[in-house]
Amino acid sequence: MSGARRARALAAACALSAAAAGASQHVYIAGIAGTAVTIIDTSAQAIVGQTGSIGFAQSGIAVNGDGSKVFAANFGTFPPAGVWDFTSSGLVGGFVSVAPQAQVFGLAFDTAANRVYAATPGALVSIDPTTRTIVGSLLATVPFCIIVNPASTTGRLYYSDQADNVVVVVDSSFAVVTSIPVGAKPQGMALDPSGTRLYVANFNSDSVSIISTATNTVIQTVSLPPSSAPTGVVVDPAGNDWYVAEGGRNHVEGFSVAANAQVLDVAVGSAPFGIDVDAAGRLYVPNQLDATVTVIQPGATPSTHTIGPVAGLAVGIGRFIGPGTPDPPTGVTATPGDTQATVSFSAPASDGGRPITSYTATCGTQTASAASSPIVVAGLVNGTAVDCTVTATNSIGTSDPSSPPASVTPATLPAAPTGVSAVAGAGQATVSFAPPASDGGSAITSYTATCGTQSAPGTGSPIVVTGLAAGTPVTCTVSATNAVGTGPPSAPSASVTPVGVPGAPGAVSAVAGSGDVSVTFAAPAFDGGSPITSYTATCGSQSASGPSTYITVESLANGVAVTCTVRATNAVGTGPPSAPSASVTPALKSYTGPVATGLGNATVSITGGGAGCSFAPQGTGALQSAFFIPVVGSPKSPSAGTAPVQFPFGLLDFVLLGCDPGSTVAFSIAYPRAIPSGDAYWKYGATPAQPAPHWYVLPATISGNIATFTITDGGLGDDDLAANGVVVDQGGPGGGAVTLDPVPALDRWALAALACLLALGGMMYGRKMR
Amino acid sequence: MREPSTGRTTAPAQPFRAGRFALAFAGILVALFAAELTRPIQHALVAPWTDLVARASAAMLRAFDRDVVASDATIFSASTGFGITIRAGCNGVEAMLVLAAAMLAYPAPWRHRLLGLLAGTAAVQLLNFARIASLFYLGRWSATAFEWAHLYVWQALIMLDVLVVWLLWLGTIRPAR
Repeated sequence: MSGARRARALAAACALSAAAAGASQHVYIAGIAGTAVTIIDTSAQAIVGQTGSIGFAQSGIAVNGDGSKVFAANFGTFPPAGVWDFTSSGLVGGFVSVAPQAQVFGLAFDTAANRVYAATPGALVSIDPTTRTIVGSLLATVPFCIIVNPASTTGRLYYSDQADNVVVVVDSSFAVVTSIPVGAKPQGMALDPSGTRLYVANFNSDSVSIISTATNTVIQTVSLPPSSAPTGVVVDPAGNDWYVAEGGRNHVEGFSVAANAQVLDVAVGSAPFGIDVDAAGRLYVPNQLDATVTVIQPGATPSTHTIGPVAGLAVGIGRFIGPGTPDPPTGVTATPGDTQATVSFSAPASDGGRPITSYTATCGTQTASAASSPIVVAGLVNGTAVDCTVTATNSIGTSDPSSPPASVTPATLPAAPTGVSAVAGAGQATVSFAPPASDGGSAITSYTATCGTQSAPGTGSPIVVTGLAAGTPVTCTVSATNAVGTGPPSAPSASVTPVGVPGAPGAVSAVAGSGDVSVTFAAPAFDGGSPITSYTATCGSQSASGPSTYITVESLANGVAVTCTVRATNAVGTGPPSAPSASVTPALKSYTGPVATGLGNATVSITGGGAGCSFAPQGTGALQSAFFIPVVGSPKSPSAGTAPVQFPFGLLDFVLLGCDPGSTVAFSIAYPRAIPSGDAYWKYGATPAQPAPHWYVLPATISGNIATFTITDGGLGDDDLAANGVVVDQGGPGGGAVTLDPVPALDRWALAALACLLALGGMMYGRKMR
Repeated sequence: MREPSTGRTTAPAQPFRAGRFALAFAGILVALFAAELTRPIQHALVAPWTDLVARASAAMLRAFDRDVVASDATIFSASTGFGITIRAGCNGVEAMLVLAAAMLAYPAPWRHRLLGLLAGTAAVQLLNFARIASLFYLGRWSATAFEWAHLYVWQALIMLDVLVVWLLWLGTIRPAR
């Protein structure tokens, strides 16, 4: 061992502890060649003070159970070797001399026995801290580090003996139980949280011995890199990993408890001497030659920072961090309730080295405590905002309040809205209401209107509730919602019946006409809650509307079969179509138009001949109906030209198509004025008796302005004389009673006389002028 | 040409020879009547003209009486059935042909003849319209009055009308120098 290494070893301390009542944990760093112990706050991560002058050299540190008193070993000769005690804030209380021993290394505090144990060359000394007197002594060679294990059943104390290279087990009666051989020059030691394993740093062996406290045997020795010169060892509060300060490598290594696999290897300052861990898991490593402390945050990406300088050459083997209050809880939230708040939070990262015994939530002036989150704070005033904080308490004290505070306004459920009324709409209801008398202490965030099984949200009145069945009466209620929840529903509104489109008409019947179809139907059973305003009948591509259940659809193509449907319309809209009618075929069975003589309009209509029997489309073609034409001048006027009678209304030319072959068709022609008395219905065309076209009288009944007659397909009156379903006709009422007088301007004698007169006049005038 | 004393416009006359005029008049008259009787002329000119006269007469009458109906060359009453037929000879064409033959036979400039023919046609047809209308209503009223007016009054008036036109036309012809 080199001189410097030996000097560091001599200066190394065993477990030192620090405590700070009412504050976070304190780290007490002893200093060789200093005159005070430096105090570091774990929350501030800074030096917060130091003790008064307690001698030239300190080594071991011990902290009593509540952290209120700290003990520091003085191993120098000025003053003589002994143990100082001071408060957590550094106020020195007194000194106990261990003379004639010249040095004191490690210290330990036994809370249960209220004793301070001091390791001195040749003896292990027991001190009553109250009377500051030595009350016992145990022979030892070179004890260095002392560990108190309250959980052990095989021994009370463990101390490392650097001369015999053993760890000595001492029972509660201060008698040696056994000695456990370990590596060369055992130095720092540490227990795991359960007290079942004792880790011993072997300074000269570059190893760590792991001892089972149940069997007091070494169960494993972990080798460290050559010249590591381990000075201290510690186990994290969770018991997952252990760490060793290597004074020869200026490194700190970490290993898993389970497999002793390396989990950390970071550089620290010069000549690290000892290591301890706070409740948050941060490692503190006094760097002897730098007079600093390296703080390590272990983890996947470990970080380090340095605190210092401290007084003297920093040492601190074993536990030199005292218990403290927990850190404040984090993640505090508050949920409003009826005159209460439910405060939720997360446990702090650090329990201060002592288990947290309770949490206290404070909202305004009210507090409540519990062992865990959440905490319900009652007694609050609805509508009054308060800030909520949480503190954690352990055996040492209570943490600072959490920050930032969580603001909350206690409230209860809002009352029910009032004055609810509803107006029915198309499949919906518009719900109006007044806000409730009380919002429960929290602003109303929304309302919910419910009509029947349907609901709709809204931020105020009115709210439209949709999806309602037309014709089904409903009542509506409204409830208000604030931050606490949804209040009771209001009193129901008066019953309203939503409206909708009408149902489909029924019993649709269609009757074909000439280019039109007459549609009759029954009103739908359900009018949608709104009176039906009109019906729309659709036949083929044409539609017509009307208010009654009888509609004529016009402009249909004759000869084209159609079916008809009907839809009903009310103020809401148009309902679905009805079932289609039976198929019908419009046929031109009637025609109205002006007669050729300018006397006005006449109408010709037919009956019989079969359903498809109708007038051919208007035109002058062979299979077209020209209808009312003059006797001469029309392409379809009789080829005979003049007629034997006069036709006051001209002629009617038509072609019937689609008639049942050989069927009889009845004609009725209404002329614009009375047919002259004595007129007959004259026709021009072929007759069975005389195939060549000629004028003849068709038997007809003439009464007033009406002429009626019948024509049998292929019989008299049908110009094609064939029973082929086609009837061709041309005729009209002609006047046998008409008096036609030629009115020649001059008869032949008058012409002769006129010629003579002109000749005579011309000759006389010519001779006169000659 | 304007006459210095009266201011009337006259046409220079060709030397007049009575015999020549008479022969020309008779020849042209026969030719015109013969042509009128031919089917092409009847079809192309006479029949359409007759129809036009009938329609024009009916339109004129219907303007004042909706009871009047025109069917082809016939005008009749829709309420009573009485009608008159505008046939060849009723259309004033013969009277116009006589006047035209006279004007064409008389020695006068062609322009003068053309103007005379136009004026004569207008005079004859206007009077013919009046004749047709009066006969239509006289016939509805009294067959006797119709026959008397038809046979005597209007033939005389037509002849007088043509004669007056003829004489007036002759008066516009400047003596030959």
